[in-house]
Amino acid sequence: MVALKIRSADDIVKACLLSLGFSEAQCRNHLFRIRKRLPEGEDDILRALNDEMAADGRKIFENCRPDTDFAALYKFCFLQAGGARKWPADFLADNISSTFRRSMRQQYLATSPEITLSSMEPQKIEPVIRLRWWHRFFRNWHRYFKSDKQK
Amino acid sequence: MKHKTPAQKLADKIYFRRLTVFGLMFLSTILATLKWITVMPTDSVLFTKIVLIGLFFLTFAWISLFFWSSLFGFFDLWFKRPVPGIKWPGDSTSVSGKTAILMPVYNEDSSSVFANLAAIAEDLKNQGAAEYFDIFVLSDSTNPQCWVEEEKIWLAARRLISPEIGLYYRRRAKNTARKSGNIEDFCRKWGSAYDFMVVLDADSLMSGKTIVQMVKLMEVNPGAGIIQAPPMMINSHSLFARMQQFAGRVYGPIVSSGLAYWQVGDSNYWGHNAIIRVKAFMQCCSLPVLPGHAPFGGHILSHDFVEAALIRRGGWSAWLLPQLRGSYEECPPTMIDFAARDRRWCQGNLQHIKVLLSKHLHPVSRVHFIIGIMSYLSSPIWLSFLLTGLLIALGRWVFPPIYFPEVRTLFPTWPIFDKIGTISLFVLSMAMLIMPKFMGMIIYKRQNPQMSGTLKSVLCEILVSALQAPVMMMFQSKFVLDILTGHAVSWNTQNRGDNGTSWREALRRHFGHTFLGIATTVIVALYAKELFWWMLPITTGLMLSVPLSVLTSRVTTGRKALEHNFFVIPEEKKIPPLVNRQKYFEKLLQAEKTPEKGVVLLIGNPALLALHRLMLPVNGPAPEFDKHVLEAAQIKLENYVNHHIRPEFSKDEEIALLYQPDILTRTSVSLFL
Repeated sequence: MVALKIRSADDIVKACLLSLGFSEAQCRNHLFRIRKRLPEGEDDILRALNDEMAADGRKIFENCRPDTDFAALYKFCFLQAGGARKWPADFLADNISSTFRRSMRQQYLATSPEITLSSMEPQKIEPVIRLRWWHRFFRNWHRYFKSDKQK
Repeated sequence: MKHKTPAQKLADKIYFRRLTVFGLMFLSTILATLKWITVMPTDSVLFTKIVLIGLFFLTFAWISLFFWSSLFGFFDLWFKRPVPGIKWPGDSTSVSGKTAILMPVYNEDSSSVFANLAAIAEDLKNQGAAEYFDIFVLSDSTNPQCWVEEEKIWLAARRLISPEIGLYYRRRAKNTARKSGNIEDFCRKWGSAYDFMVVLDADSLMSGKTIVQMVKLMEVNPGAGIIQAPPMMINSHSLFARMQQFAGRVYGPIVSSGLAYWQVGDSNYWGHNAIIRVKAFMQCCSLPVLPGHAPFGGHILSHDFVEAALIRRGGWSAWLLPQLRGSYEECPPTMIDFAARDRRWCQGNLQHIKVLLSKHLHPVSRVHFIIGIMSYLSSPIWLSFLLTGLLIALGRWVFPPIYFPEVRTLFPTWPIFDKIGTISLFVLSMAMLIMPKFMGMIIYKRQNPQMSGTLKSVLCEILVSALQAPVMMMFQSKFVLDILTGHAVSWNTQNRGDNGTSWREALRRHFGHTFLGIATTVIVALYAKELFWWMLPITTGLMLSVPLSVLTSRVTTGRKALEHNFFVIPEEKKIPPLVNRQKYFEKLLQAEKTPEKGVVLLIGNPALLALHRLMLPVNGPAPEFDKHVLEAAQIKLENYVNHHIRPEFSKDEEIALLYQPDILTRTSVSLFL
């Protein structure tokens, strides 16, 4: 892992909020609320934040495939929707408002359609004429010369 | 008299067409070879005579096939005869099947690629058929910076495209079997959801009308496996590319119409700008790995010909339809870029020697392979022909003719050289090469009476291409020799930029050609004077290869030609709306590009990073990396975050980091600390 300068938990949450488009003033307003949502004594604040975003993402995008990276989806849609400007209070709020949910869903993008695996049988390409002697000669041509030398 | 069914009548018609083209080809070749036997120098030994006859036969057969095919193409275009056997959809035919438009890319300029797709999508929307299409960008990019940029531009392009059309992006972690493997991967994952797929190249552009027309053709012809729309070159700026573009526009229609004349439903596939029935492709086109090592063994490089042959073997038909317009591509900007592309194609085509004798192939599919192989072998054959002729002439200097042999004869023994016969054969060969160009010009002028300067452009194109021909002959002969001695080609991105060739680069690439041209001229002038004027067109091209390569590569010379009304095509006088829209979208997408690239761009842009994380599962499992590579990359990343030292990642380091989303996320957040 990349070694970072040691910072306080508040600093890390603030950095995360800033990366999501929050302003310094908004960070000050929402920091306490968000800190409260994170488990007490958590060492890995970033992971805890990600888990919270994933949990909310799972609720908002309930129809998505279960293997979706919900934290990334939440972040992406929040950033695309200009969430920090429009719904700062809804970010990791205890209750997800319907307008926030709708706005987030509007930003959803499918990276690919559902994968439905099919098989393709490798085709045979077999020569009509088997040029065995020809192949044999060319595959082993160096041996012919070698045996000549030995003679 | 027994009445024939329409199918029997069609079969007879196709048989007659093939018989006429190939019959005339063989007949003219045999007659010319018989004439050649009578005009050959009589003082050469039997072995050289046999060699000369054999090489002449092959060379003449090659130009003769081109001539007769073009002649019939000319008549088809003149009388506006459609390709028989294919049913054209009526106006009331509606689209019902779902089509995927596939754009395989490999380290390409993403703004140009996505601009092409945005223009196509908009045109499909204008046709009212958007809901029947999805677009897939199938990336095989190995350059990490291209990868991140593709994701960024994909996101931007989605905003330009109607939401009715899905625009999807996936990058393969391992690009097994290159483009054919890329398409196969698509088919395995998503193929079953689509009826048809339109395969494009990175520079392909197709109008919505043409794509819809192709889908309808597929729907009313349930036995059709492939329909190929002949692409027309556009967006050329350098003189070389402009000449190619003009040649393609003027001569291209009769060439493709000529091919369609005898190929009918057994046509070929050119790898892009074609629609394929997914079911047929999935049934027949999983390509095997050829036994042995590269260049002849391994994965099939020129997959398109093989796919067409396998689809045909599977009972589906393949069509080349010259009537389909609105299909565009771009041309390599310089002679050197053109030769570099030829190097790849040469290996791919020569590899077909292994496929040519495969069981159960349609005879016409075998002819496609032979034509592909011959298009590269013809160069060494021509070179050998010239060299043999030169050696015979030089032999006369080393071993002068004996006019009075020891055995006493009534008259001296003169070496006989039929000058008139040789000139007439030369004129015939030249006519067979040049006449199709004039036939193409007649059709072009008929279809575009408003275009001026066509004759002077055709004459100029003939002159320049005659000078370029010996250089290309030397390039291709070298490629063939390289391949036969086991040198495989690597997979490089095609240059599509307009930077031109520098004098230094041209000298490096063409030094051998220039030297050979000068040396041959001197030798011929000193020791084989009778060949001097015959060899001059060839040696001139070689001696001028450096300035020719540099001057034709320049955009300025291309622009000058345009100002003087040389090589102008109708699509430049009246730019198709599709092309204008492509340019507009490209400008918009170019503006999305930032100076930051790759990992640095990603960690500075949290939305893009989140998107990158979202897309990783679609791209497949991460490849394995050397532990030390990742460690080295992390140290560079640390230095960037903590000490603002700009990281200089190696390609492997950057790719390894791009597969570590947690590291990237932490680094990204730490930038805000």
